Amino acid sequence: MSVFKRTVKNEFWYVLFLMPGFCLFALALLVPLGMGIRYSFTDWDGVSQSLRYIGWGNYKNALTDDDLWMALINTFKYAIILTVVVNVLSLLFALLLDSYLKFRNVFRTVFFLPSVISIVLSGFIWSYNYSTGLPKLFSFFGFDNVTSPLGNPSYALFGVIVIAVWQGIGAPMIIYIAGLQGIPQEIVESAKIDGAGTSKTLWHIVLPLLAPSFTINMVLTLTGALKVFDLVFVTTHGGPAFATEVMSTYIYSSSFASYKGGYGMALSMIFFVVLVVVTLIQLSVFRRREVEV
Amino acid sequence: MRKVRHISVFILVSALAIVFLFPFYVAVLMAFKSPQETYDAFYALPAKLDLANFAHAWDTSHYPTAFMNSLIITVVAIGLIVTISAMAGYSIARRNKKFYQMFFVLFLAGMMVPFQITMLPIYKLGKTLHMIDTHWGIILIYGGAGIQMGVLFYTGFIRAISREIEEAATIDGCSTPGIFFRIILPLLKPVTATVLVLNALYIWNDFLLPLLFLQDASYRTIPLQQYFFFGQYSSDLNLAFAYAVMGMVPIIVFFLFMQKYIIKGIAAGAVKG
Amino acid sequence: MNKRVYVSICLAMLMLLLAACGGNNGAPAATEEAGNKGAEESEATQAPVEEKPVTISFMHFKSDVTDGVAKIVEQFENENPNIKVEVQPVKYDDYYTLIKTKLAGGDIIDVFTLNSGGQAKLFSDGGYIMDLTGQPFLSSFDESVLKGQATDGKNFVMPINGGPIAVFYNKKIFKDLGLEIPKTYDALLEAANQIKAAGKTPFALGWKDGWTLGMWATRDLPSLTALEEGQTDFFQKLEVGEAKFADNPAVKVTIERAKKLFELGNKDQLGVDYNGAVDLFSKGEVGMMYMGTWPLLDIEKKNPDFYNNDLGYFPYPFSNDPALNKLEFNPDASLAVASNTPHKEAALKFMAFMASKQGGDAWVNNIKSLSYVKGSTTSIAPAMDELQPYFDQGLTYDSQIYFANTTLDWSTQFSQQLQKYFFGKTTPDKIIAEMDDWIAKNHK
Repeated sequence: MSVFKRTVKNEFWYVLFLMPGFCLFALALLVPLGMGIRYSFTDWDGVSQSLRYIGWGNYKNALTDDDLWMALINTFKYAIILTVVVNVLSLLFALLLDSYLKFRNVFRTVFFLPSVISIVLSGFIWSYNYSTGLPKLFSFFGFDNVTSPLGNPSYALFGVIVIAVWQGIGAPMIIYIAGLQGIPQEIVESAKIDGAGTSKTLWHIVLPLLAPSFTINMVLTLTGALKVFDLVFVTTHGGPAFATEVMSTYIYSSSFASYKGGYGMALSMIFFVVLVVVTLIQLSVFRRREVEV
Repeated sequence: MRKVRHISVFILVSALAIVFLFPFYVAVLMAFKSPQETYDAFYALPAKLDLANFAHAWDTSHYPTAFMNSLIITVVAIGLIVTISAMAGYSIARRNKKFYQMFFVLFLAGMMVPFQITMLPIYKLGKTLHMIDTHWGIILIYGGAGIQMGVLFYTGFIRAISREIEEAATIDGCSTPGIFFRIILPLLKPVTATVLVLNALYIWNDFLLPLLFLQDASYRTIPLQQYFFFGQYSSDLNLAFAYAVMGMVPIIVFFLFMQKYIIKGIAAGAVKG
Repeated sequence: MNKRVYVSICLAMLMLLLAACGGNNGAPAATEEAGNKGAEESEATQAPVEEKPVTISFMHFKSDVTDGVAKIVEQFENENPNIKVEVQPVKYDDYYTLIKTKLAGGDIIDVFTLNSGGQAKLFSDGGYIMDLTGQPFLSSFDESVLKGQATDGKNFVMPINGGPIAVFYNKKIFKDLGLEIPKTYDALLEAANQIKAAGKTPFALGWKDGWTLGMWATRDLPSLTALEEGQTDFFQKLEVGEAKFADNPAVKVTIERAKKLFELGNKDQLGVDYNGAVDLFSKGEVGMMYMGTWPLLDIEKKNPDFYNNDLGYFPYPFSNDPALNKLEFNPDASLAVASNTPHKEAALKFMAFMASKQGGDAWVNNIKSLSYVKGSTTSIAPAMDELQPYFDQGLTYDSQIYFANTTLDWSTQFSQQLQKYFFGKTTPDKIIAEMDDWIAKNHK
């Protein structure tokens, strides 16, 4: 009894401290996730009170649904291209800003600025620039046939990626700058004394030492990009010709616009499994590198 | 030679900066011009500094309401996230028992579940619990979403704090909450700044959760109100851009003031993440 | 940063905050005042319940004329000082998702716009809207109009405005090239080709917005299906899975026509939105634009000279038989009252105002659209006078009645398929096969 009493006395406050956080976590995540799993086995329309269990029906339909595969392919295309472009450009920007440069803090602010405005705004501004602003600018220089990439199924996804790059470079750039500043100057200097040129130093000394920043940026950009919703929703709604339909917008339109809630939840669960697999792959790559280091 | 290189880098970076600022330029330009002026000459500067678009946008857009909604939701949600994450982080950091570590892993695993997947059930839950079109409903959801990363930051930070002060305090008869609020909390300022800025940008700009939870016009936040405003004035783009500029100003001002902390926060987040 | 700049920005933020608080406090105060005024004016015999100021919500999809609708509502509020109307305009493309979610979730929107036909049926089937049959204000409308907008014989929606969907044309371009108003589809195409040969754009297309392409497709296809092919019940059969797109030869015709329109359109057809298309057309460089009367206000604002002298309007000739080519005239926004409204009296008063002569005129004057209220004028723009003979001789029709009682929304899917075809990513046969697949999955 006294052991029990002591345990209660010792742990009481700690458990109490944990509880508010856990309750909200349950509210925002555990309960909805449980509900979602349940709904994915029903024909729920997403809004009404009535639902009927239909077993694996939604999942079977989903696996034969061409639109799901199309959305998955678009999502990965978007995420992979964006991750590569954002990382290359933000590394380049970081290197430029880290070199001797006047007003470097002003430039850093400028490149970070697009990241602080809401995606709704940037989507709105860019849609307009694509359809009106840029064609007008180009026709000023004599190119009359510039059209909005968002209006052509072959380029629409790239049009969205450009906006995402514009908005997404800020944070990775700062992480790279922090990484560069963490590299001890002596190592770079000694390499130079040993006769290594600038490009050689960069390639053999600086970049390998940036590996941790690189991993973080890859993981953050990729997971963020796989979940893209706002940007597509405000610029193209998934069109034209489904060219920019990604998983999140497909789930949204199935659940809310087409009123197939049960089906939308089955799609969500499939997407969830895909994300877990991607995360596990990332983690294993992460681990392997840590072992190497 | 060195000088030439410096100058060419400077020119390159300046050119990139102009490209990055170009969309902002167009937005501000549109906001100050009348439809007629835009129609006549797209890139020309307006003939005079005319605030008519802003005045009209201010009158029709419920901007003050949206601003207050954004402010209330962001501030309270961040306060909530900081409080519950610090408390939970303290428990996890100081009790090396399986029971607590289980929660730690659970919170971390939660980060893998994107909101998009649970949006429909959350909406349904929100309906059932009457959380739609209220401030507290969306704040609680932000709290539950923010704690996942918050706990990660606070646990790591508190683990690095020496236990000696706490042990001395315990001997002096200080209770656990006393230790936490009087001794630990004041030490958490740096990590709190990080959690604060990261969540502030996210919550202030978030679109999807408000889209689901705040449909009533009187509860809309700035991004949501903007989305609807663009829809309402689809035929008067100059007005829409005036509103866009009004929507950008608060967050850009916040960024310029807090720049140091935001950049530190992101760099710190990278090290932890 | 400079200290003075700091201080002034802080002050600006503070003022913003104060203004925000003022705004919040201001609203209830205004209501109170209105309420008091109402109480003074109302007669002593009235029940005290009615004197209480009420606020009703009004959601509408006429978001291209937000200010015009606000003016109409203002008139109503001036006449009924103890009723305050909270207006909520929503972009058409988001409108139905939002309102369905809200209503299904138990929210109350007292009055809202609906399209008669399929949408009205969906809402009345769900029990969300009130049966208005027999309400005295419905006598402001012609019997035939009421019948046309009835759902299963009952009036769940009140017609407020409607208008022709036809082809705007640039009279100057037509005159310069010696073109006549086309009376058949082939003549339309021929005129378009000549405009193109003259180096101008034949059609202004704002197909970035989903509804603009959808609007054309959901009129061309049913017109051809019902009037040319004689399959008047095709869409009803489609709804229950008894008919297929493959069985309807008109589908292929519409697909090919869409591609032709696309090719004869302005550049960047799917990148320019409705507003951009109106912009192009107003500049006077484009020959034609298939559209309702909505852009009239805009065109007048942007290019008054063109609006007054060179803007013409003719019926869209879907057929090659001139006798079939009447003027498409559709109901636009209709009004419905929520079945669960706690402010039934006030909501019905609002409806009665909209049905009154004054309400009808308000629509005509403020947003340049036609009203169904008896005796309203149709002379809203110089271009509209050209259509007067069709009104006078009753040469109008409504292609929307052919899917009036169906709720299957095939048009979004169909539009996306058409967009694929524009860029050579599919073929007409494949579109038809995929549409039938989609219908097999989604029919009742």
